[in-house]
Amino acid sequence: MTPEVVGFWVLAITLVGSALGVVLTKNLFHSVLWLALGLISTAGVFLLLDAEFLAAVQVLLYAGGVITVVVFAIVVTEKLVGEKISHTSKRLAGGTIVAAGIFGMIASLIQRAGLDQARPEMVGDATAAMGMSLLTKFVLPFELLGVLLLAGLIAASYFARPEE
Amino acid sequence: MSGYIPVLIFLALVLAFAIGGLVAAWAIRPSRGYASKAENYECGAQPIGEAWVQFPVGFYLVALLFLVFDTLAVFLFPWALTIRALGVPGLVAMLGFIAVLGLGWLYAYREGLLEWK
Repeated sequence: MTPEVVGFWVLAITLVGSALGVVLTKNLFHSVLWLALGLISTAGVFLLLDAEFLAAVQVLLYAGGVITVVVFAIVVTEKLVGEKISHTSKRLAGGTIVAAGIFGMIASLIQRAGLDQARPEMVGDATAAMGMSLLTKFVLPFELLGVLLLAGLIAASYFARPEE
Repeated sequence: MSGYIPVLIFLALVLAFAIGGLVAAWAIRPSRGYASKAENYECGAQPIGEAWVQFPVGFYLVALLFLVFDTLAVFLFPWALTIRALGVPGLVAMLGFIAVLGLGWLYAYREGLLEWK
């Protein structure tokens, strides 16, 4: 087995295990920690696919940002404080059917997708190429993204603001 | 891909150090517990109430601001790699992006969201 294959299986097992940890742990806070592990393993999968920028974004934004926000959302939520923070799994039968259906759909798509060809080698620095097209060809969507983020920031801080 | 071999070795050493330390301590230490061993010592103050207290919502606002500027930081990397090739137009485009998000910071500052009440 090549190192890539070993790495993939290690990451795949970690990813599936942490995903199961997220849904099966009773303690909500432990679920968040499992989610952090799952997001970091996803970054590892991106690294295996030579997508360094995506891996860095995954760690910075998801493992760093989103997990921080979720943790703070838990510790500032009044309803959860004082009570035992836990969650349970309900409607397991229906959920199993839906999950099996989605799994079947994805599996059949992968089966049909002709994965016998090897992935083409990555040429050049993808991150630099991204910066090149982001600030020349796609500069208007990029600036609009700034406006979108601004709107999100203002709206979120307006709703999260404590009442005067 | 082989550039990540040092990272893997480092990761393995980190895990071995953490797990090895815990396992060695568990294997070597004598287990004779008594009440005062479980108490705080040195600078530790006696805790009042439970650990699950509600934090001020200010933490959440700071986290939201952090998330937006985290996103800003992500876009600095592709720009930094092409800063020479793109020159002044790239700089202007990036400054525009930073300025738009700077408005968000200004809003948060003017609304007093960053003040610790």
